[in-house]
Amino acid sequence: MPRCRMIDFLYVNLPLKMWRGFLLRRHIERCAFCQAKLAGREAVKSLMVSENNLGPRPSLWPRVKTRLVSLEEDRPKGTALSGQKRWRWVAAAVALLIVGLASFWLLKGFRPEKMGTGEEVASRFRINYLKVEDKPAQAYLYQPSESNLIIIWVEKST
Amino acid sequence: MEEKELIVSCLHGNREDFKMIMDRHSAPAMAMAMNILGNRDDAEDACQEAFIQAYLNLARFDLEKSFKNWLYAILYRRCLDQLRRRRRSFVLINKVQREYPQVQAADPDPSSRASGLPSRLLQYLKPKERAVLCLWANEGYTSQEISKVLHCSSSTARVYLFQARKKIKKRLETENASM
Repeated sequence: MPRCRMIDFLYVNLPLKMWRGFLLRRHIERCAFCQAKLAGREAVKSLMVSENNLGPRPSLWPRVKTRLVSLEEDRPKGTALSGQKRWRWVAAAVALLIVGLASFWLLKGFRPEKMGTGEEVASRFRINYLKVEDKPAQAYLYQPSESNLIIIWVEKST
Repeated sequence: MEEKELIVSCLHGNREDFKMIMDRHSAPAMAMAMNILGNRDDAEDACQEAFIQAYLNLARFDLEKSFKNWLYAILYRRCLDQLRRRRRSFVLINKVQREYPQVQAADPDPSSRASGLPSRLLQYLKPKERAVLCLWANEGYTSQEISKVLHCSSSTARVYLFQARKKIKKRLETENASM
């Protein structure tokens, strides 16, 4: 009995279903003392509605049949709806494409500040040696004012 | 005709064969719904919805498994839906009564609908516990089989069953003592 009390205490105070399941499997379902605290199958059955004391049998078939027929009749409408749904997806994809293209055109002229000024870009260039037709050549760098464009002009040395 | 044959026949479009399946299962299903919902009208609605859902999803049913268990699993979920709907309507009726006291609601108390339960004692149990008890007592299900209907582990089903049986025993003893 003290063991049963201890298990009951653990069952009540550790509300973990796995733990409770373990206690039930390990002890409660095997212990006659613990089983005596539970209602028996017959006692429970007497409290329940069963097939025998159900009263008049339910006639569900006419209602179910009517619903099934109406559901089957609605099916073609369902395919029309799925068609509509498909068009919605197409419309959404087109809208997304338009937004994407507009964003592309708007952002095309935009250059992040990190790109730096023309001078900074030009300072990155360093030409050590140039050859044209296997002969040393002259190189000239041009940068038009107010532009990031850099033109490299290479000329054969005469 | 065997149940499997009937199901295959239904899958081939013979809707009338589903009537035979319903004839076999409608009474126990109705008993289970009544035990959970405690109300014949709601139980009939839940059963109707469960059978319709079962028919529409017959193609997904595994013929190697028990149709009864599968149907009970659907029915159990439809019963929970009914209870949720009942709770929502109760909240709405309460709100209407608070805002418009002159309006007389037909059925303000959800417990009044549940009072149709076969025994008053069942009112003290949760719907899940009532379902477990019904399957255990009426159908003779084990906790393993109950777990398949409730979509939970057998350990959890065992806990629900134990708690329900304990509560009922306690109530029965209290009632007997007060008599």
